[in-house]
Amino acid sequence: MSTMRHLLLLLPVAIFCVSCNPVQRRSVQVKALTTAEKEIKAVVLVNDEVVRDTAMQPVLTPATIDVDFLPDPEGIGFKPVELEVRAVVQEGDTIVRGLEEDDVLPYYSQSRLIKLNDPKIQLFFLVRNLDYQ
Amino acid sequence: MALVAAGCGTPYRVVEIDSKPAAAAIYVNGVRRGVSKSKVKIEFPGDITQRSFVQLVKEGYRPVFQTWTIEEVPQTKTFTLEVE
Repeated sequence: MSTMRHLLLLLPVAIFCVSCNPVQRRSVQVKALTTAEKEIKAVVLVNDEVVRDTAMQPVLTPATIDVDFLPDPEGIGFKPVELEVRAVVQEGDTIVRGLEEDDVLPYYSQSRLIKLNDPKIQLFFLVRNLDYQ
Repeated sequence: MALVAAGCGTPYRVVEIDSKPAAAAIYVNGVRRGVSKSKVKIEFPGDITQRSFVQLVKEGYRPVFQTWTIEEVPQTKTFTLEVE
């Protein structure tokens, strides 16, 4: 069977699977590191929303989070999700900087679009903010 | 082409990664795979749309990030890291 014919036969199955699975959930491990490869604490944002635990506290890296992928209304497949990490400044266990978008932080935030079948481990190497006091 | 995509097992390709400056850490799909210049194995456990993520990092330089599908993996690649 030719590859093209094979793909055409699978197409209705793929469309059916998308229509019967409105949301696909994937676990993603998120880590934030410096360029010296040292782990740092950062909050995780999914589509601009801070990820929180069951107690509504912000989840800090390293963390494994569930990411929901919604069907792409303009085609077959699923919409990519924007994943962002933002380094935090803590005093004890309290986050004093990093939850607000305009906070000045010791490292620059970083984001990327991830797709449904992208690697489960997502590393973010954050660059120092040399202006941070 | 340094390709191994046998009928069984996870398809992968091997790429020789270099960098300017040299001796940058190479991460493939979140796992450290060595230091440039090195040949690294890049696996594609999913379908042909599967992307693999390659990151190079070196202290004092801006990290670089690259995604490849299995069709896009070159035989050799040199990344340039800019000073932080």
